[in-house]
Amino acid sequence: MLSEFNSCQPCLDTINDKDAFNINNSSNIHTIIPLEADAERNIRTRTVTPIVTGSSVVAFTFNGGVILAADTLGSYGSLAKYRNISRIHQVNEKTVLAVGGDLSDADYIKEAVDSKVEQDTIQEDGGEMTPLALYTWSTRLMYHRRTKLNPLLTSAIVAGMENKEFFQGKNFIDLFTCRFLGRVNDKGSGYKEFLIITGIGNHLAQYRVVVITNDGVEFKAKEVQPDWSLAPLLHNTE
Amino acid sequence: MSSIGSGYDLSASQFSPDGRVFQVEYANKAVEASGTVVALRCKDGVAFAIEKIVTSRLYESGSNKRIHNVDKHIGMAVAGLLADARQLLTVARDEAKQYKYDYGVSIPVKYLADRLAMYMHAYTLYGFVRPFGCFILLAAYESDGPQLYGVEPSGVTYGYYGIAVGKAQQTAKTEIEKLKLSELKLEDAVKEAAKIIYQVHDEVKDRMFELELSWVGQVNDGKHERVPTNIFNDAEKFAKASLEEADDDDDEM
Repeated sequence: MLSEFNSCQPCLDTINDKDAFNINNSSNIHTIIPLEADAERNIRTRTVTPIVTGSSVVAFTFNGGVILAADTLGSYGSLAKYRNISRIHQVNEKTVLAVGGDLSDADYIKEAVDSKVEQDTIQEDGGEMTPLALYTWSTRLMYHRRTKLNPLLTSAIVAGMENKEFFQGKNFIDLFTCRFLGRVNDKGSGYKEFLIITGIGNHLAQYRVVVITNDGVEFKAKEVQPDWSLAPLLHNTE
Repeated sequence: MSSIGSGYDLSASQFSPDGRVFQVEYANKAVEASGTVVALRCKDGVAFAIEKIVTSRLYESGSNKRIHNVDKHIGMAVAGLLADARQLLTVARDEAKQYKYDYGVSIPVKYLADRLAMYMHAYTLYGFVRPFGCFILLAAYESDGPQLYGVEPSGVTYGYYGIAVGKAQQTAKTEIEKLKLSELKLEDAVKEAAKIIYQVHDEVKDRMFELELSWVGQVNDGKHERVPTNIFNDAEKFAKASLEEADDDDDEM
């Protein structure tokens, strides 16, 4: 009970005061397994489920560069709560970041990226955040949170035009080759591809026939019917 | 000018009988021995000009810069021990980053100056550390106009319209007082600052020097940066030309 507050002992009875009625000398107080105690007290110390979410992001490379698309909805479960949220974020002249999933974690990622880019820019040593650099850095960030068992429940798509130095060794370097598109998920696993869709769209909207040419991605199957029977089974699919 | 501490100057935690902390005064001597820095706050911005003394032809030009960015909008110029200044630069950058993280807006340069002053002052209180041997100048162009602050090794900070620090600070100060700063535009202030540096530079004692120029003001939307190459060249030409005029005047006499 808070009337018996003792600053030298851990205060366990924020919600549960049954300890105050315990006459016997209980050694439970001194041996606590943190996760258990948290669950007992209904306190969560890490993100478990996403709350306000953004849906899919679709992106692919074409012969002019890279194109991204995302809707501007922030859903609170099944409620269409926030109708004008921008999920595509320009990092600098050559890099774009799009996020899907939990939107508070998405804001955290955007702020972390902006802060990093600003701190790097003021060094004035010529270093800049190219798409590959951002992709690698985001992987580090997401994987780090994953190892602490406190993941950022979003996926990040990084797109843009990479520097020519990245393509050393290739004979033909031009605007086409410099396109970059990659995705990092909440586990810190990243991959680079010509066509990337995150979220529920990944399971429902990937066309079965796609041809990849030098110009980019060409959708061949125009009349493919998506299989909606999967929809009820898919949730938290970042 | 040079007074002997005679036993009361061994650590910053000692006062002398006449109430001076000698270690802090010695830190100021380190500042006075460095290349001159001139800062001018004019009508629509602030200009920095630094006489960066180069001791050997073997050094790559552009090394050991003395003008830095703290945040996008704040510039820092240093006089004194460069290594000490580098640590203060890190402290200032962290302070600005934390402020932006906490409050969402860039730190006003007045607050940054106060916090940096508090930090520098802390090092003048104890016997196991020494004071910072550098004078830090901070400049920004904010919503209420251009701002220029200077922090001394003792931890005292003032706002300035114009200031010169370093070897030739007395001569440079006289030159600054001749200018009408409140009517100057930033492009002209840059030229005047460069001119003052060239005028006070001592050809005999320090042969080679590099001029560093930077500005922040309405022209570049409050983003502090080194002066663009064409403006730099114009300023240098103007400075050298005025030197020659002065020489001609001397010859005529």
